[in-house]
Amino acid sequence: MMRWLAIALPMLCGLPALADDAESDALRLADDTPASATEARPWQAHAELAAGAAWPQTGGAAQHDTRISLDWRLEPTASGPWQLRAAGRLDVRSRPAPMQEHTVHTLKDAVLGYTASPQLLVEAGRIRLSQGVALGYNPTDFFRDGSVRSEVSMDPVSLRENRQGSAMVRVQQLGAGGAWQFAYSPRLAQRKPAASGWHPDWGATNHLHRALLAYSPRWSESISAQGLLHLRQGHSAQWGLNLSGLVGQATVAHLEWAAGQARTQWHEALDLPGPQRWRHRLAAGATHTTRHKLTLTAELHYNGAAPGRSTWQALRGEPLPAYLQYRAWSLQALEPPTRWALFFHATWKDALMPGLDLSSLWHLDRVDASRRFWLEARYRGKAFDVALQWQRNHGTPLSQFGLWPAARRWELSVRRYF
Amino acid sequence: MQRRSLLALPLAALTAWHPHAWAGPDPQAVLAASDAIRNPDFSFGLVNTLVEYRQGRQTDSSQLAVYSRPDAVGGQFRSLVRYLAPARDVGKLILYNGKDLWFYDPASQGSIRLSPQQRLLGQASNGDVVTTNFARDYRATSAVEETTPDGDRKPRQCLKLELQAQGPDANYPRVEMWVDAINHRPVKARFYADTGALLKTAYYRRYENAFGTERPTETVIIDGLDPSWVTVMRYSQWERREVPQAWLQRDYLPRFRPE
Repeated sequence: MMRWLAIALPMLCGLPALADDAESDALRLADDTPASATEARPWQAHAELAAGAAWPQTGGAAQHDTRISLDWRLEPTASGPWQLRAAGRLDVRSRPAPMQEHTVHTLKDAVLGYTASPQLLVEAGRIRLSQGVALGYNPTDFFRDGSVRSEVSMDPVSLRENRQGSAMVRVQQLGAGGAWQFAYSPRLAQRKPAASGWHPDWGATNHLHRALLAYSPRWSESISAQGLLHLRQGHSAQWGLNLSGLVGQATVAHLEWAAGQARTQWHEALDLPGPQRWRHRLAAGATHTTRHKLTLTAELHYNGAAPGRSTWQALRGEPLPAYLQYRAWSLQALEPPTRWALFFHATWKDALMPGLDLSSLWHLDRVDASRRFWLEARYRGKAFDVALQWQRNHGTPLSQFGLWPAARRWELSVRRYF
Repeated sequence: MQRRSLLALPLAALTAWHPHAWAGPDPQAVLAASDAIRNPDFSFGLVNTLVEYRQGRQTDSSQLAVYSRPDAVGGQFRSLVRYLAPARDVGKLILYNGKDLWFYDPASQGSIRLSPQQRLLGQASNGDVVTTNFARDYRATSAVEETTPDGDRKPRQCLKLELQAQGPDANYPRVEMWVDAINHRPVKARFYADTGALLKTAYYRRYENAFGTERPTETVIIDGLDPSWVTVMRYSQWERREVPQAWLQRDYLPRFRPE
C-alpha cells in the first residue's frame, strides 16, 4: 500500500518526468547513438609528413627541411602456440643530419614467439627489450645503446618508439609470485656505421655478446619492483633496480638505479685505459595527475660515470675531435654527457578544447647550466593528427645543449592513421 | 502478565510502522544485489564501445575489449583492457589490478605505471570502464524509497542508497545510487567530489540477457558541471572465458596477443 502511495503521489502532484532537462537531452543523444563494429586486422600503420625550420647556433638564416615517414606494425592474430610480430619505420629526409642517409629504415622488431605454457614464453628475433620506470633517462634500459637510428622528436615517448631492437633469444617465466626474464643477445657484427639506410645495422645493436636476467616480484599493489643483472662481453656486471610506488590517488613516485664496476664515460668513449670503479646511475622522480588531465613529471638524473663540474670544464678544453667523439658516443649510448640534470615534463590532454593535447619538456643540465625546452600542440582528429612543435636549445658553446646544431626549431607535421 | 500482553500488541504494531522496520532491506545487501546484476561472479570478457559527445556533437569514440576476473580474496574485479579502436590506439593495453595500474604501448614496447586519477578515456574514469563491485569499496548507509526518472525517462520506484567510501580503492568519497525497489536493478548513480560538488551522473539502461540474467548493456555518463558532455558506453559480445591470473601483471603485457 505504502509503495503504491509512493508511486502515485508524485504523479498526482505533477512531478516532472525528469528532474533535469539537460539529462533528458543527454539520454536522447544516447538513444540516437548508432551501433558500431570494428574489424580486427593484422596490421597497423601511419604515414607522416613534416616540414621544419631550424635556426643554427652559429647564427644565420633558417634552414628548411621536410620529412616523410611510414610507420608500420604487423601482428597477426595468434591461433596456436606460435606467434609472429614485426614493426618498422621508414624516414625520408630532405636534409639529413651529418653522417645520416636521406632514407633510413629502422627495423624495430621481427620476432617469432612460442608459448610453451601459459606461464612460459620463448621468443627469438630482433626484439626491443626496454626497461625502466623513469621518463627522461633510463639507466636500467641496458639495451638502449645504438638503438636510436633516426630521431624524429626529442619527446621521450618518440625516442622509446623509434628504436631498433637487438637480435636475441628471450625466455620469460610468469608465476604467481613474480616474473623471471632471461635474454641472450649474441655478437653478430663489428661496431661501425651502417652501409646504407636500408641496412639492418646489426653493428649498432649486436657488437658484443650480452645477457640480461630480470626478476619482478609481486609484493603489493602499491609498490612494484624489478631487479636486473646485465652481463656484457669485456665489461663488468651491471646491476639494476626499478621501483615505483603509489602516493595517494594521483601521484606515482619512481626510482631507477644501475651500478657496476666501469671506467668513466670519457675513457669508454675514447677507448682509453682508466680506473675501474663502482659507478652509479640514477633517475628518481614523481608523476602527478590533476583532475583536469594535466600530468606533471619531475625527475633528477645522476650519472656517476659522467664528468662533474670541474672535470667537464677541463674536458671541454681537450682537442675538439676528442670532445666531439665523446659527445657522439654519449648520444649513441643514450647516456647524459654530464653528471647531474633536472628533467620536467608536462602533458595536458584535451587542453582548451576536446582532442587538443599540449606537451612540454624542460631539461636542465646542472653541471654546465645549458638547457633545452620543447613544446608541442597536437590535435587528434578521427584518423589524423596535426602537430606543431617548437624546441629551443640554450647554452654556451661546447655545453651539453649549446653544442646542438639548432638554437631553435619549428616543425609542423600531419599524421594519417590507416 | 495479562496486562503485559495487552500492552505488547500495540507496541508490536507501532514497531511495524517504524521506518526502519518497514523500509526493510539492508542497504548493503541491496547494493551487493545490484552489483550482481551489473556483473557476473565469474571471469568474463566483453567489448565496451565508448562514444563521447560535447554540445550534442560526437567528439570522440573508442572501442575496448575488457577481460575481467573476480579476485579470489576481496571479490573485486581485476581487468585487462585492450584498445580495438581508434586506429592510433589499437593494441594498447591497460592493466587494472587494484591500485596496480599499468599502461602498455606496443609502439614503444614499454609499460608506464598510472595513478588511479590518470584517465585515458576522456570523461570515463577507470572505474567506469572496468568491472567494479561497489559493495567492495563503499558502505551503503541508507536505503530510502523514492520515485525517480530512469534511463528511459520514465518514473521508477527506486531505493535510493547513500554510499560512503570505505578504503582507499574508492574513486569517490560519496555516491548516491538508485536501484529498482523490486528487483534491485541499478537505475542511476550520482558521484560527488570531496567538496560536495556533483562530478557526474550515470544511467544504467538497455537491459538485455547476458549469462542468463537481465543486465544493463549501456551506461550513459553525464558530466556534473557541463551536462552537454556525455559519454555513452555500450557493452556487447559478452563471453564467459578464462582470464588467467598470469595475465594480470605488468610483465605479461608485452606478450598479450589477441585471440
